[in-house]
Amino acid sequence: MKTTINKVIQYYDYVLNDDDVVLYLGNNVCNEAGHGNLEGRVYFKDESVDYFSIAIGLATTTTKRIVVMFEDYYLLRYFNTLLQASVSKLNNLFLVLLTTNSYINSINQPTIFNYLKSSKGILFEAGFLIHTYTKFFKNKTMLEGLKNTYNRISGPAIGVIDVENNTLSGNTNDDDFNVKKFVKFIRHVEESKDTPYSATVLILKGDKEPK
Amino acid sequence: MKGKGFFDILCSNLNYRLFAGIPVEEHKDLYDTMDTAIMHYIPTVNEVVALGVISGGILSGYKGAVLMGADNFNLLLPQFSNFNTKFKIPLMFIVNGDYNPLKLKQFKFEDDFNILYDIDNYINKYSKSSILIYEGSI
Repeated sequence: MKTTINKVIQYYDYVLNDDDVVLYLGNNVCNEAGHGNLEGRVYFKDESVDYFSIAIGLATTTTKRIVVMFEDYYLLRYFNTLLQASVSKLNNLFLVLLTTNSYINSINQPTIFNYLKSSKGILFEAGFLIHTYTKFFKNKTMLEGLKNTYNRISGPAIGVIDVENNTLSGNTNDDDFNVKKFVKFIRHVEESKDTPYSATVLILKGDKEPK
Repeated sequence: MKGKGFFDILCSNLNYRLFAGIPVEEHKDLYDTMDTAIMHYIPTVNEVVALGVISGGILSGYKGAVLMGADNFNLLLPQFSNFNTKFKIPLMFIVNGDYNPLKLKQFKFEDDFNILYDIDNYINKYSKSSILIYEGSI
């Protein structure tokens, strides 16, 4: 049984931590996400910008978990950047792919995602850890399992969730990216935080790259 | 070979640590003198990804630069204007050749390493991206 974009986004808030950076990409995902009050949640409706590449840059230079939510048409548009992410070995990079198999919900024009011989296989072969999370969104009680999984796995990983088409709530979200707030948030890393991620940032501090 | 001195100043003195780009033949001397002890270079699938990676690094607090050939500046236009210009996220481009469709301020490197301090001052002071251009090799 499929779920809706709105439900996935609301439920995912339970799975994630307040300290995570979450990028919501594309018009539908941003609108359905509504107005967040956490500094690490940012909304980018503009599809002319490759925000995957910005997520890679963020994950390279911070120990915070970077989570990116997007639909399959966005993946198809910037697929080459995903290849860059797949070989990056960024274990703090988590992608959440919502497969609606359509470009615009209202006119139901299909994407080619479902027509690929093995859409998840392509991502797996590229180097991502692939999980299918659709079953976790049947009800809230099942989310505990997803939360546990999420705290144990390392990236680069893609969680795939099949969502219903034509089920948008009609919400709008015009929140603009507040750079100052975001920069303050992402640059604040608690020294004592017990994180499973070994960030590339260590190299940037001058440590020799391990051979 | 001036490339080592170039990166010593850029990375150790001015704290530029993150570099990305598509390898081009003209930058061969720069690649040969890169030192992983002071910098991190990411070869990317295209110039737009390089721009995004460096922009993300800048948001996290790391200085960086995109190394690319001048011919492909046109490809950056939508991403640069809709993200870097819109949200005032400045960065340095290191380019071999004189082509500037983004209309950014150019600093021409010849023999004087002081130009690196000048371009860094410009970026910090005005929060505007700029291009370090050179011809031949560094």
